[in-house]
This record gives sequence, C-alpha cells and structure tokens, in this order.
Amino acid sequence: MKKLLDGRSIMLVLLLGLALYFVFAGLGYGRNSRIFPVAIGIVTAVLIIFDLVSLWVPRLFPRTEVGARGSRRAEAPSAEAQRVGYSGARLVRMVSWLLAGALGVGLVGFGVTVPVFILGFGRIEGRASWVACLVVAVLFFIFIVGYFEFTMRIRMFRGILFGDLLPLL
Amino acid sequence: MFDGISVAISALLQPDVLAFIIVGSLIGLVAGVLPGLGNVQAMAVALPFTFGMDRLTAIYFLSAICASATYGGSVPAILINVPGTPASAATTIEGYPMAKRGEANRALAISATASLMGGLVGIGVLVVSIPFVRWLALLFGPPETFMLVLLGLITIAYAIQGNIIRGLAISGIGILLSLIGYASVTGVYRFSFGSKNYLWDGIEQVAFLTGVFGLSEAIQLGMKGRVAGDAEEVALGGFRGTWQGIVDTFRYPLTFIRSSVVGVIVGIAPGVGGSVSNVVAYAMTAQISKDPLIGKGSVEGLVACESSNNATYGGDAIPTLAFGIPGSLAMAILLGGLNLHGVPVGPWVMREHIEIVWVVVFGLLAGTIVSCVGGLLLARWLARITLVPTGLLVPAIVVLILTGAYAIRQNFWDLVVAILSGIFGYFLNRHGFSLLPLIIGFLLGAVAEQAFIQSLHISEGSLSIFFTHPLSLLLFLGVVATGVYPVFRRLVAKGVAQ
Repeated sequence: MKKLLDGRSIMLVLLLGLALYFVFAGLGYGRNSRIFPVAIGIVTAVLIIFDLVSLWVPRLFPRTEVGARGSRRAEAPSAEAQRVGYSGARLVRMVSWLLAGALGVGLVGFGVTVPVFILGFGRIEGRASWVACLVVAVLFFIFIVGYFEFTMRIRMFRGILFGDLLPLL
Repeated sequence: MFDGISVAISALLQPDVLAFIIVGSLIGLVAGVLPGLGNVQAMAVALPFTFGMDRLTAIYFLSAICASATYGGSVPAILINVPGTPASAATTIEGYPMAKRGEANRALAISATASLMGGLVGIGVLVVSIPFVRWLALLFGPPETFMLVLLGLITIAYAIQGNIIRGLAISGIGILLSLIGYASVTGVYRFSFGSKNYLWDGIEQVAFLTGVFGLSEAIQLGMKGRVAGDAEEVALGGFRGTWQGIVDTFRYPLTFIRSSVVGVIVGIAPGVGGSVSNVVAYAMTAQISKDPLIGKGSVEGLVACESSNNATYGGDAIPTLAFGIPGSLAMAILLGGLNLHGVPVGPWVMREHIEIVWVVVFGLLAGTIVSCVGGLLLARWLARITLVPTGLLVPAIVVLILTGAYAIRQNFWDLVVAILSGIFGYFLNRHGFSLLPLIIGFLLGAVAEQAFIQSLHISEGSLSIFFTHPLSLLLFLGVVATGVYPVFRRLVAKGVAQ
C-alpha cells in the first residue's frame, strides 16, 4: 500500500509539473490564446496540489478522501492492479520490449522488426514454442505487408539503415 | 426523424460493409472472450485500420465491434467460469453452475437470446430518443456547448470510481494535452515542448487513444502472465438445450424488462457501463426472485445479467451521439473514430450528421445480431481462444497497435507517441487514475476552448454570456449542483449521525 501511495505521489507530482508547464508557457501567448489553457492549467494544478496534500497529510483535508458518489472510503487501487502483482523488474522488461520495438522500427523498419519482435517476445517472455512463434511471426509479416503495402498502398517505414529518414521533430 | 436512414441503410446493404460488420463482430467476440480484453481494446486496436475505409464503413465496423464484445465475454463466463469482460462478472454466478449441470448449451442460448433482446431494447431507447435529443441539440450555441462539456467532465469525474478531485484533475490534464499544437481559433502554435514540426497538428489522436487503451492493456497483460483461468471446461450438450434456452428467456418478461431498463439507465449515466449494470440487475433479481436456484444456476438470474449488460451500450450511445459526451470508454473510442473520419464531435453530430447517428444505430444492431447468432454457433471454439498464451497475444497486440499508429500519417514519431501514451496510461491505471476523464478531456478540450473563445467573441469579452442564455445557465446550475452534491450529502449524513 505504501508503495502504491508513493507511486501515486510521483504520478501526481509529474502531472503537477505538466499542468504548471501549461500555465507558465501559456502566459507567453496573446490574450485569446492563453485565457483558456492558463485557466484550465491553474484549476488542474490546484486540484492536484489538493490531492497531493490530502495524500501526504490526510488529517488536513479529510474531505478529499471522499470517493465516488460521496462515499467516505478512500479509493483502493483498481481491481486489476490488485489482482496483478506488481513487479518492477517485469515492468522494466515490458517497457524495454516496447522501446526496443520502436528502436528496431527506427533502424530496420517494420518488415524486419515485426517478425523478430513477435519471435523474440514469444520465446523469451512468453516461453511459447518455436513453431507457434514462427507461425504467428510469419502471419503478421504477411498481414503487415499484404494489408498495408498492397491493399492500403501505405509505404511502411523501412528504417534509417535502409535509407529512410526520420521525419523532423 | 427519418432523415439519414436511407443513407445508412443503402451503405449497410453494400457487400463490403456487411463483410466488415461480420469481421468487426467476430473481432469483438474474440476480444470479449479473452479475459483482460474487451470492446475498448478491440476498438482501440482496430481504429487505425479504419483509416483506409470510407466514413460510413468505418463507423459500421467500429459499432459492430462495440456491440459484440459483451456477448463474447459471456461465453467463457459460462463455459469455464472466467468472465471475458467485466460486464460478464455476474454471469459466472448463474452461467457456470448451469454449464456444470450439463446445461451449457441452454445457458449459452439464454445468454445469446437475452443479450440480443437486451441489446434491442437499448437500441430501441436510443432510436426513440433521437427526435428529442436532436431538437435539444438545435438549441446549442457556443456558450451552451462550453457549459455542456464542463457538465460532462464534472459528471464523469463524479460518477467514476475513485476520488472526484483526482477525476477532475485528470480531465484537466486531458484538456491541456488536447491544446498542444496549432490553435485554429487564434492561429497560434502553442505548447510545442520545443518541437518545431511534429506537434503542429497536436498529439495524434489515434496514436494517443490506441496507446492509452490498447498498449497500456498489453503491458498489463504482459505483467499478468497467462490469460486463461484454470477452471474445468464443460461439455456443451445438444441442440435441444439450445432451443430450451431460447424459450426460457421469454418465460421471465418482467425480469428481462427490469434488467434492460437498468442497463439503459446505467448506460446513459456517463462513466459507468456494463460491469455496473450486470451486477445491479443481477442483485435486484436475486433479491426479488423466488427461484430456489438463484446463485446455483438460475435461468432468471442469467436472463437478468445478460439483458442488462447488452442494453447498456444503447444507453451509452445517447449522450455520445446527442452531445458528444461519451457514456463509456468504448464510446470515447467511437468518438475518436468519428473525429478520424472528419465528423467533429459535439452536439452538432445530431444536427449536421444525422446519417452517422443512424449508422451507429444500425451498426450496434447488426453487431448485436451477428455476435449473438454467430457466438452461439461458435461457442465451442470461442471458449478455446482463452487458451492462447499471453506470450503470443501481447506481441500481436503491440504490433497491431504500433503499425496502426504509424499507418495513419506514416510518421515514425506517432509510433513513439503511442508507446509513451501506453506507458502513461499504464501508470495512471496502476495508481488509481481513471482513464475515462482523461480521454474525454482530451477529445473535448479543443471543442471546449473553441466554444469558450467564440462565446467571448459574441459577447465582446463578457463572461455574462454563460449566464444570460437560459440553457447555458441551466447547464451551469447543473455543474454547480453536481459539484456541491457530494459535500451536501456528507453534511446531511453527518447531521443524521449526530
């Protein structure tokens, strides 16, 4: 529970930073361009601060512990979150797979990354059989090439190693 | 009232549209069968793939997915005691004991028939409400639209499980994220985080939606391990049981009507969906029913569960189509689909795109029929889908999302946005933040700003416009009442206690 609260505090602090960015950046624009974002940013920041304080010092603002529909109970983490055990290492691995997938697409494009990703994830994380992984990987490769390249005439990214350029940020 | 019907029907009769409805229904069914997935995730993954379709086909496709997952969720709930979606949680209480008694086919038939009938009631209410809400939508100008978005956000923050303040804060974050990029009202490029090109059109909506809903769920699945439950699988039985199940459903008309009404009402209320109506309708029936088998495989209990959860999405569609305030996450994705295909969300959908409303109606209807009939025929094989290992399911979902996110604009950075949104969505979900206010804020933020600035232009800068227009004032009072109600309720409870 303590860990969850800590995680929630970190999330709130990050969201507060985001809201404040909109407030301060918004102040630099003209009246019509800033009035709405700055107002929403201030209200959001105040709500987040209120939530943070009530999380850290529940005695100060007991009323913010009001749950949905006026319930006095402080809300528990989602049922899903409770059911799924939290493993930091597992999460890091999941996120790493996603980032590796993006990196792979950036470097060698969808055509290579898609089957390798499915094969790698299926074998290493899912411990699925080679045959099942290969079948799914090949099916998805055919789907990507067939659906996007041939049916929709969309040129899928080939990767910078094969001569494609990343668009400007 | 019937404008736009002919357009919707003539599109529906096209063979390719019918094919997409069948494919969409099957996708929804499969997603519903897989525990951890549902219509929201299926629609999020499918959304980018609609990009090449024409507008009406795409909306038919998404509506069919939306309508079909709920029945899909009931199949494993009945056959292996694992609800495929949260909307089938109570179904396990009555469905699985029936299946264990050797009445699996009967239970599946009750589920299919009650789902179909419940779905029809929900859609019927939606159809009946169209003339009224269309008339209401005509009264909406910029100040009313702004107040409506405000009321929608505060109502959702209040209705969702969790802290109201946190719900409002997260909807504020959603609004702020929607303001990134070029503002069409003022012609200024804002909040670019240093990006000179990429964020010109703001955060790509489809990449964000698929990331927050689809990828975050894939991360969750990857964290969880195996998908399926390990309950023993049961034999289905013969055709006689199926026929008996269909007849059984009509033996409890009052239960069916009551549960469908509960489903529709829960659907109309923003932020709550089939998971709530399923439990509420079942609990009501369990209290009223004299059936000794309640809790041990009662037909009446199963009718209540299945008719309510399918009636919900008809109710969900009412605020979504009437005012652009989605009644559920699935409807939020549908709004994303409307946006992607050039239909601006808000009260003007009823006014200017009535054919879209009918497409959603017929799409939900067709999805319900196909999924219930097809689901009944394919139940035996559908239940086996739960045995697909997560190790193959997760990379498949990830690949579909990433390729889909890229394909919309063929921009590599959209793929990165989808991944970052997925991680963001996962952490929000993990730490008790509801995704619905975030998405609604994100979808309606720019609409709200436009309405706000237009109102100020009309009134030459005076905020009084929001209080001098009667409907706007009424909506404002609704905002205040919704905000004050929890405090008032607590004070009353405190007074009573003292």
